[in-house]
Amino acid sequence: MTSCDKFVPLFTEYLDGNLSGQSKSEFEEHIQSCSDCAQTVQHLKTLQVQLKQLTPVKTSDAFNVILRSRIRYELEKPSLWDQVVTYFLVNRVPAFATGFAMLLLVSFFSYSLFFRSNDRSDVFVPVEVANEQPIAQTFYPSSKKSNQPAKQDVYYVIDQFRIEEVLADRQKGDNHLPALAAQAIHFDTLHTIQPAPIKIIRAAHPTSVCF
Amino acid sequence: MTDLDQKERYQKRKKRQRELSNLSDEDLIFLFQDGELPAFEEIVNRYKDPLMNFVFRFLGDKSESEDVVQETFLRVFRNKRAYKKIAKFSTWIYTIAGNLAKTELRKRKKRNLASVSDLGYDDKDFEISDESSNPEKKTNTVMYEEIIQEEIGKLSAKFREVIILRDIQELSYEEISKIIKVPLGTVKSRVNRARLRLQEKLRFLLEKK
Repeated sequence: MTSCDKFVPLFTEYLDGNLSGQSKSEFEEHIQSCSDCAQTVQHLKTLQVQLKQLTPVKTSDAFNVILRSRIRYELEKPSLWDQVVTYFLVNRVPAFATGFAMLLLVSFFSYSLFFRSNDRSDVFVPVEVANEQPIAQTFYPSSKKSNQPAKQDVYYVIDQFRIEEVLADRQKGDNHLPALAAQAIHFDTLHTIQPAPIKIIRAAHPTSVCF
Repeated sequence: MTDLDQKERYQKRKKRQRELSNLSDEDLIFLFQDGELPAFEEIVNRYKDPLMNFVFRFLGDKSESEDVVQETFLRVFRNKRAYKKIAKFSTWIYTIAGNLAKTELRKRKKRNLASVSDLGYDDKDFEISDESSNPEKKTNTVMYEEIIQEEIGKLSAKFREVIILRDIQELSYEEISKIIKVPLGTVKSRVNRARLRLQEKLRFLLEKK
């Protein structure tokens, strides 16, 4: 570090009159012996004067008028809701798009609310047949695996299915229909029956079955 | 309303304006917070030119600077309740103007527009003192000020800000420290470096003086 470097940070302090005592005398001694630093100090003094003397820049004559009108607008500014409504009224294309989107939304909810069908395959009720050995044995012909419980993969079952299918099976000579299913068919008056265990086994994964 | 009523109202307003002009900035903003609009007008009249000078020296464009000063007063108007007695009013309003000026500078950089260095003679529109009796002196003054402004504009934003606040706006180091939110020692060091840098750039001019 040269001796000049030591004094460089002190230029401003010196010019502002904040140096005193030994620091000030050391600084003054240095600038008397160093022409470069003396010149810099002189330049800085001139610069300070020049900066202070720069012609002040003023606002235009219309400044207050413009500001007043902006403030008036600020005070009378419509609410956010009014602005949104105005925007959609003025710009018809976005308004049309919004209307269309609203229509789609309403249609979707209406469909969900009013057009739910009883035949939907996504209406499930849990059944407890999975680990019930006696029920499982009932539905498997005992001649096949007489000593083992039937494997039960079904955990959920569709709550209703059409009687026509059961009747059709019966007409084909399907002898696997248990007495319980036959009884359900017999008493049914709405052309639907409650879940028949035989159907549970045939539709191993009813979630994929669609009626 | 009769002419007499109008005259009376006018006189009352003038009297109130005179009273307001004797109040401190802080008293004015508190009156404005209580809903007295003339207090805000007094604040505008007090600060519009100092802020304009500050922002212009920072941005180098009169039109942009005036917009920034307008926006500063609008912010004060909107957020009058945000001012608390913990700081001087001048500190608060200079902070708002400085932040807006810096935002404007960033926008300008994004737009990739020309900087103040492109401020040519044709663009010169800031007011100067009446020196029509000596055209040569006038021309020299204009040129001189333009060169200084150009070199100020070439400083980095942090140096530019402190040197304008200290040497042009003549604020105290303590106030600058609060405005730009850096420690006092950093402000002093920054002013020192900014002055030295500007002095180096303007050496050829300063030697003539």
